[in-house]
Amino acid sequence: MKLFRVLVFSLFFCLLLTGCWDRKEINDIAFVLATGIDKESNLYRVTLQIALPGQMGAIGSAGGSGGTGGGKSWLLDSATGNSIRDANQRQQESLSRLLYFSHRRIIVIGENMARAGIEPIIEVISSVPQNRVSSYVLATRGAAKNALNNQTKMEKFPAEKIRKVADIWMNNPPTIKDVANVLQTEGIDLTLPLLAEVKKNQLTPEDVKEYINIDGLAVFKRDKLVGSLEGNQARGILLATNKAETPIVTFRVPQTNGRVSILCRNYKVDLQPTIQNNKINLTINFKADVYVLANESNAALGTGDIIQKIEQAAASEVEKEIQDGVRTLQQKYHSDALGIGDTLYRHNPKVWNRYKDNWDTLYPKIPVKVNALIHIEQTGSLTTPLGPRQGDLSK
Amino acid sequence: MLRKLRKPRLLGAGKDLEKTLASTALVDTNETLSTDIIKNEQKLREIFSNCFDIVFRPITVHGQTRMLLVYVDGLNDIKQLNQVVLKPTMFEGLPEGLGKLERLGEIVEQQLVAVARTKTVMQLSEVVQSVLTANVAILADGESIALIADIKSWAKRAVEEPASEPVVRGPRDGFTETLRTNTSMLRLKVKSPRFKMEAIVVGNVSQTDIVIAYIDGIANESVLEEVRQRVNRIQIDGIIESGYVEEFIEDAPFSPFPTVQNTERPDVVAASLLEGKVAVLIDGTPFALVVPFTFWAALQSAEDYYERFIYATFIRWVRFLLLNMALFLPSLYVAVTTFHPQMIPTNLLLSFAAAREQSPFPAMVEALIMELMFEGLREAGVRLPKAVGSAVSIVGALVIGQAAVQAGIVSAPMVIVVATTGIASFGIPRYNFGIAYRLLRFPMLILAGMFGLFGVTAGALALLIHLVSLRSFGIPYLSPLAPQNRQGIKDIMVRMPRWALHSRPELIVGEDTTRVPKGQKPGPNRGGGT
Repeated sequence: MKLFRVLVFSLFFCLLLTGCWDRKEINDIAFVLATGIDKESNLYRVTLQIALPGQMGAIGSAGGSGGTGGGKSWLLDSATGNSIRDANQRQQESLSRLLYFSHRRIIVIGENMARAGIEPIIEVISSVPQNRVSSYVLATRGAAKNALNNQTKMEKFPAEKIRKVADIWMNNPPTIKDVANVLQTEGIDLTLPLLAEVKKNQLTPEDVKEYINIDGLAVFKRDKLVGSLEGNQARGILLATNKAETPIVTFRVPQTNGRVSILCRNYKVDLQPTIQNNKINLTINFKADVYVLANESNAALGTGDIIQKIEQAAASEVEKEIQDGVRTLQQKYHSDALGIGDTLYRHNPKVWNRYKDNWDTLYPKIPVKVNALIHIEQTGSLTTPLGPRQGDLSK
Repeated sequence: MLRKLRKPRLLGAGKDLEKTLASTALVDTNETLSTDIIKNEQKLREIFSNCFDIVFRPITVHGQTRMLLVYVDGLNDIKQLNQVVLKPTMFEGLPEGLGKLERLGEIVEQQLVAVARTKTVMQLSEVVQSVLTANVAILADGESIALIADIKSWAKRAVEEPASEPVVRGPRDGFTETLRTNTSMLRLKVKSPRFKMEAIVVGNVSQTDIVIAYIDGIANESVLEEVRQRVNRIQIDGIIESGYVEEFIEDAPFSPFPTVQNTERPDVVAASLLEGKVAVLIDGTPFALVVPFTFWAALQSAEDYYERFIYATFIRWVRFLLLNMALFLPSLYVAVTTFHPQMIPTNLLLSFAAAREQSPFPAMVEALIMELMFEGLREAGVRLPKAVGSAVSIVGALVIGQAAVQAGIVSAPMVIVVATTGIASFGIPRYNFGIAYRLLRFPMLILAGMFGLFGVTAGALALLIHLVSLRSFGIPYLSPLAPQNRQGIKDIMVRMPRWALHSRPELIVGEDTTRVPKGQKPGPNRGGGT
């Protein structure tokens, strides 16, 4: 009995011997918030945006030297290497805290890197558990290192800003997981939100500010960047892939004298491939419940069949946008970003198996038809516009 | 060598003890009173030598028959003594009414004093005993018996609101230090002949009265027998507080969890008795013991049953939350920040990081320091005289809360965590149960600091295993949840309305299991109305 007690005690102290072997105090860790990856000749340039908690002006540093010392609350560190890991290793050599990647919000892929192919990046990122697969992946015009070096006013970190902008710009921006999924799937190509630096005039012509924002979609063929879509074309693709976040469509209504803007609240997209005489056709059915945001025309929304006219005009505008985007994808970039091949496979695997070997030549020639059905749910609190007189109204 | 030195001392102590015992209860066990009052007086005076508070009052009537009153000064109602004993015998003479007396000694023989409780005793030891338990002993010359009159009255604390268990709604009377008052309070609440109170005297020197209270038929016979046995087994010189008894009768002396409930509230005791539990009341303390005690009973306050059930259920869930916070919050904070920073939302983590930027200590050390500091503050707050008590809170709030954070020695989130934990641990209604949780926080913290969440999980599992294996007087500690019983859960996870709590706790109760007959849900179509 006594021996047993001694044994138990000594075993207990063995536990204590292990110490705290995995312990990482949060003031010994450098939290990486964003990674930018560029390709320079045959080297990778990795740029890390690291949070500097000491500069965040939190309590505890109130009387100290830190505080709101005016410095940035983040640090940009860039290095080149033969691989991403290699570059990280270089960076670690000059950093006093351990790089820690699990709080990375975004990964920005530079243009050169994207053109060269992003497969190696996704591989290296998704194979390490510490890398969170929920970080957003974005492409950028020019170098990624520049995109990350952009002071923001509203958020503490550019990474946070870019993440939120992406969230507002589209529905469910692609994460590493999504990107890996798309790369793994046959019959679908990748699109990523595309960052760009823009200069905007503020109050006076001299007051020019540089912003980083998202101005389109980067279109990939397999894992390589082939081009970009902007404006209405980009939105057409977002609409067709169910990724547009509360899209606002503005258009002219026939027989009236101005524009009407609508906001698509709920919309549904359905890709319907049909095969006739060995030829593949694709119909995109788009259905939306909308409400009228602004009516600059003289259309009196409460009366007559003007509502139907607006609905038709809106439908044809949406059809045009989607049509435009898809045509550019098909003919200019040969990139199947809608996943037409994948849709075909889901509808009819046998047909897909027959066509998949020469899908690349087949895809640009597939006729795409868009059917949009818009239903106006609300017209706002005004039915007739306040401006025009009764006689000028179009009913 | 040591043993040789210690042995005689121990023996000496034993002898001392025997001596003291002999002088109170055990001396002259078999010696009867003699008919000669002078002899009796001599013996009593010998026994009570140097007892400043013992009063001997000889009475001589007609210069011949002599009587002797013996009592402890301050424990008897002197006015009543004058009224019922002294005046009649000294001035009014022998009664001439119904029972005509020939001699004064017959007063003793026939117990003719106007006192409700009297008895006669034959033995010297019994006389001594009775005098010490606040009775008046009346001896008469020529009689070998003594009359014991019970006119107890001493300075008592009034019945006050229990300080340790206040309620907003509910009875405001609390037990006092007087056993008789306490039993009377219970009797007022349970007016049934089935409500039994068995008295036992424990403590060789202190001769403390202990009452085992239960309701016949409702209390579980095996639990009751167990209580009787355990209380009877106690051998001790004296009992000052219920804690003395608790330590002798509890099931798991080395567990941090109490297996005996203590309460100052007669309503809690009465309600427990109605559940089939057994109460142990001890003279000299306002705290009664109630067994068996379960984990869930620790999370129920008296007010749960006085407030309406919806609120009572809500507040129970809040308590469950507080209970877990009291145990796990500091260790979770330490585990997550030092081992698993990936689990915290980024913005929260960055706030933590910003606050911890200047902290010189690892999170675990910081947590230990703060927790110890908090325990210190709490203890100081309890022990300090009320006049200086507020100083503690000022020092605590200013020094710990403000200055330490500003100096960067402790991080602000840690102060929040420790403060929240402190509040949470006071949210547990049974104070002695909360102590267990406050203690277990420390091993849990060390586990968290060494092994992260793995350690916390291991600690929680070990705790669960311990709780499941614990029993209080044969009743599983986690019942009625761990050995599951559907009727019982009605009063555990929720507090069902009174009319839905049909049966008493299955494992605790004896034969009479029905508490509330079915079909009493109030509604518009129930009979009786117009």
